[in-house]
Amino acid sequence: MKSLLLLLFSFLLIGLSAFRYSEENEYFTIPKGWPKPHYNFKGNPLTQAGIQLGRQLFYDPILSRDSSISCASCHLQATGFAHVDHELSHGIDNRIGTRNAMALINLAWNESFMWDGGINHLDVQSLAPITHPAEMDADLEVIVKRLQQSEKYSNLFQKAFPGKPITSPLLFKALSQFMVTLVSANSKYDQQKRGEYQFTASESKGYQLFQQHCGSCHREPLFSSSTYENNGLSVDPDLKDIGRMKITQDPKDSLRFRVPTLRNIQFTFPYMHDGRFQNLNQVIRHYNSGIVPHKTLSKPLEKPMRLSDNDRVDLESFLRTLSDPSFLYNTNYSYPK
Amino acid sequence: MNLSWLLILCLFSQFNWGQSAQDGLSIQLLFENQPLEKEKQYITQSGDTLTFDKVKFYISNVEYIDTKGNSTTIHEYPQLIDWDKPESLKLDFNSVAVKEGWLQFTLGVPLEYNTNGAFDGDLDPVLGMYWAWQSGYIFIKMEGHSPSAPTLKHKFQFHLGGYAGAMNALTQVKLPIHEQSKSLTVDLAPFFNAIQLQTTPTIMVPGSQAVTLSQTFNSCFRIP
Repeated sequence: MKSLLLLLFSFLLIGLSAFRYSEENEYFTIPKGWPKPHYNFKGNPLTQAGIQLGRQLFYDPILSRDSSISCASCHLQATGFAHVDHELSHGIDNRIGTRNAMALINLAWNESFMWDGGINHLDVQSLAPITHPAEMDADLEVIVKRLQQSEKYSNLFQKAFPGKPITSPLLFKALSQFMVTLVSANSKYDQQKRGEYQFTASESKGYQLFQQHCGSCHREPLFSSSTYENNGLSVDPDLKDIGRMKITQDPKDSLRFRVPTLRNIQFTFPYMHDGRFQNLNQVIRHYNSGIVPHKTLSKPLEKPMRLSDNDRVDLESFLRTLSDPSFLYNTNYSYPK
Repeated sequence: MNLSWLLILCLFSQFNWGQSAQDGLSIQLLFENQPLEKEKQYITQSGDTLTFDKVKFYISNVEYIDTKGNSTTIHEYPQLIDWDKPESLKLDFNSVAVKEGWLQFTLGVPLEYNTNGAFDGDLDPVLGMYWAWQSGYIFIKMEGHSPSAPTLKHKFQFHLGGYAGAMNALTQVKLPIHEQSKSLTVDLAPFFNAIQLQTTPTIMVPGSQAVTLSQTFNSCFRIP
């Protein structure tokens, strides 16, 4: 009897938690211990048809002006949906943008998007690369007509959004449905937290150093924060990128950029908003001894890290525990067959 | 017999409805009291000669306030007024009985539509009124040419908007209205009289200038 009551009580608890986290469904679950996602799932309920439509669109060059490049041209799954080996985004007609294409990981938790946080909602994020002259350079109206005239997309949109004509907000919602499913939460770090993996001595030491020197901005468990920081990079004389200040016009935001996630960081090189560092060693060296003083410099970076050579190796081994092969090779995210 | 009576009645009421001055206001774009025309040259008080290519703007939360101060919503969802689309140059009263009182509306797109993704209808981003690099709708878009504008092809471009904090460019318009009112006029002359295209040929980002110019545009509305 007692065990029956306990069973009933636990059912009740499960029921309540499901009710509380109504954004969770069979296509999206919040990893244990993670905060509530920021994305408003009520405004765009996930469905299998919606996610699959978004996936088709993500991999389809139909969204670019001359149907030459897709989202996946610059956001490759095997490199955390970042653009490996490209410092700055590489668009149509070999045009080069001014910033490094960002990784697409755990976007449901992002409050804003882009290096300067200029985009306030995932559903309007795709508009920027689709229409930017140095990216896909498309006229949105033309793209929507193209999709309306395509038999394939008429069918897929009907399945995802029954009874509605194809419009740009639905195009964006479909892309969002696919993108919010890109959740990376099964790295060695996560396995260690769940008691399924034991850090090596070097990883463990690296984790301590990380918590001490990096964790206040790259906050666990997402290893990012929706804040903007000046991390002491010298200003590129050609790009002269003022970062967040472009959006807020506030001098306090000069040279501040988004704190990006470090998940799968091993594979998302090159690093920084302008892709200036080719490997993690260079990144750690920068934080260790390359900080350029500035009045907007992030407070925690004012004191040099002064890591020894061994410390730097340990920190890098910890960063590699954030790699998640089950994300990088998840067939649900790959090119649709 | 009964049916045909009904049909006639329907037709009659339909006919009446169309004729009534009370189903809405026509929206007229003017320059110094003259209807705005494509390719026509206008001269501002500040000495600029200019022609217009595009005039588009949003009005939202349209309400009628009677003399006792009671307000009735006419429509909330932002309506895009576009010089190039004659069908958009009309403010429908949506069956609200407008008599003596005031017409009040927001010039621009309210906050909630700027922070919750993309919307459809008049807010569909295909209409070219959404900023891509920085989230938010363009509230007022005016483009044209003037020899005074020191820009490529002497183009002037005003894309005014902004919803956040000190960059909030939303303004309210409140105009006296009466039963016989037929039109809402937007005379662009005061806007261009207040600026010099030599020094201010383009504003395309939210900020203090956009806020000031939105307030200037606000003063262009009249119900004659």
